[in-house]
Amino acid sequence: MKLAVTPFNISSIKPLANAGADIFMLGNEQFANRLVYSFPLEELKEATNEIHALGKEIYINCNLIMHNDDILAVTEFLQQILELNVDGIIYGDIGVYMIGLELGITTKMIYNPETLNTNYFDSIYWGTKNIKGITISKEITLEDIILIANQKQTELSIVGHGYLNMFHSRRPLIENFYKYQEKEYNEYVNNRNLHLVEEIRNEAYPVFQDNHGTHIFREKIMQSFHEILTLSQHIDVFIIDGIFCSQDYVLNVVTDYHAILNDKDKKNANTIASKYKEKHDTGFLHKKTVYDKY
Amino acid sequence: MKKPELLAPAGDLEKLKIALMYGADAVYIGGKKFSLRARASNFDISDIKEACDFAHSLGKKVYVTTNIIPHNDNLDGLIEYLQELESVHVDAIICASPVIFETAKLHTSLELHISTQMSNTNYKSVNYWQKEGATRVVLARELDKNELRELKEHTDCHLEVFIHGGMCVSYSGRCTLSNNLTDRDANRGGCAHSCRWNYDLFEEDTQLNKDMHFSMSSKDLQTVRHISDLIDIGIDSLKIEGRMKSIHYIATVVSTYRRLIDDITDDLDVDLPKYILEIKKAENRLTSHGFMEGMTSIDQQLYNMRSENPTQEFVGLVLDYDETTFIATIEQRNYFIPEDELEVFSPNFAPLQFKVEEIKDIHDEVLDAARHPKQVLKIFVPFKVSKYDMLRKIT
Repeated sequence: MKLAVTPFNISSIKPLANAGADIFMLGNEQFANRLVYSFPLEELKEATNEIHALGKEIYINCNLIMHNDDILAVTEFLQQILELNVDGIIYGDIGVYMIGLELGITTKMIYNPETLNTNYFDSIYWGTKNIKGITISKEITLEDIILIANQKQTELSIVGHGYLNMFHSRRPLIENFYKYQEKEYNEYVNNRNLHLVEEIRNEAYPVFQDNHGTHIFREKIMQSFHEILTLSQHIDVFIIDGIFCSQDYVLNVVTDYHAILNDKDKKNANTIASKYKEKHDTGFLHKKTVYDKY
Repeated sequence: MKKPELLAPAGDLEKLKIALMYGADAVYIGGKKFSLRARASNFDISDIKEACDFAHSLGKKVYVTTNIIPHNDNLDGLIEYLQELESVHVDAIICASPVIFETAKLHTSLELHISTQMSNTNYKSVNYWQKEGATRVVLARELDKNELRELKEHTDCHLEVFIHGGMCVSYSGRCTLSNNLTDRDANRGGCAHSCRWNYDLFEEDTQLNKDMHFSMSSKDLQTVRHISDLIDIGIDSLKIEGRMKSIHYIATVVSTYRRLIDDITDDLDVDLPKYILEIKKAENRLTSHGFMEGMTSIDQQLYNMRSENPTQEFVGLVLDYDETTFIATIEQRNYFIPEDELEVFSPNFAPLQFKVEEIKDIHDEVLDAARHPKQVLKIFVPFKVSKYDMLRKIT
């Protein structure tokens, strides 16, 4: 199993590689949602060279929800990316797959629609479309992840560590809230220090508005230190998403997962996991959502 | 000018019959399995058969929603269920997950529509589904009329567009607020509408909202002013949301859009304010045109209010009428008394008003008020009414 990370800038690539990262996921904000950092095209080129020189892989995140007006620009972007000889292209909109089909690059493409890859058939189905991989949805249990992996026909990835998003609206909800009150809003757009608290829940959900709309995230950071050894038997790529986190924190996280994977020692996993109790949880790995009780 | 299909929701057989009687060309319903809106799904396979038989006798259609995004343990009985749907002649299923789409292709000849849960926002993805064998795509609610026109110009696939009812504020199918806040899976019918709750907004430790809660709740969709453009664009099906809604809501919304579509395609003068006034009688939340005119603004959001509005009062459903005695047999739905002014709302004629005289029960006992829900009553109505006509109190 490979560890994938979302670098903070070009200079963070080498230390992350040294800590044990195998795959680097980068994107540009025009074509991707919820990035840690938006790499201009020139920097994507530079990053690709650096990552390849380190013997590592680069995946380009192109997970926008595409509207007609974006089609031409996405097509051009994918053509430019192709010239870089990147190792993977992540999409969340099937329209982007169609562009990839026209460009003959589907074997590099990875389908991550966040919420829609939920059962064993998704990997089989996308395998018939000749793509590289799919990312399993974030609300799937460990038990189901293993069942899905048992029948996989593509590379399988999960987001195993980080703040997970749970809501994406096309609407500029922060801006509108301020406009309604006839107040200035500019400092609250593209502001990543905001959070929402629901009136009867004492939980803080990170929220921000950007050019793709409004995004809301889970309160706690998902971690999988206890599960990483099991996951490594079934999953090909384990993604550590660094959004809202510091570079030092992510370097520690990568180092810790890498150590557990190298040692294959559950005791070590327990010791490391105990460092990540506060503000962390295991997402839906051990929690089934309710289906038929209403 | 091509007349689009008017597609209405139906939560049970009574609502289905009302929707079709009041002018829908097709209805969509949920079975007890594989459907979102689990609580609104009252149709077992014999009900679905009755629904199809009834609709087909009128030359109309029934679509069945199989639009959950299933997990591994939700797939038992899928093949058999889809084959049953085919055997009772449903006109199409509305699906989202590849496992349901491909199972239907492999084991049945069912016509396949792609649900709005797949957030199809561009012609490339619509063409993908057509290539895969879908005949229709229900588009995302985030599209404006220019996008719809461009989309239509780039695809042969039939397009279905929401014209009325509740709206997800997020891209449908991409939201797990409910999963995270309540453990209820939004993509398997459990949405707790957490986007309609009240929140406070903070920047680090500082609360930013002072006078009102942060709200992201969406107004409902109402597109009376846009139907003419949607017909001109060539949208194939115009869809009303609301499988949980009452028969009065369904009847009012369906009949309004029915008359509007007919007026436009018959090239008659269209009195938009009249239709807007009529449709308001069924509103229980403020409405707006959603994304029809472009990016949403504050006019599409609900702020500083509990969103429910009282609707015009629906007091009775006509069961029968005796043309010799002018006595209507009705089923009570809300309180009314003698001397109240009522309006008859019918698929057959424009609303007509009358004053209530005596109210009697089925034993001919005179009552001072109609108090009990679903009680069968007899009242004098000075003109002919028919089964499924509705009585509204004029307030």
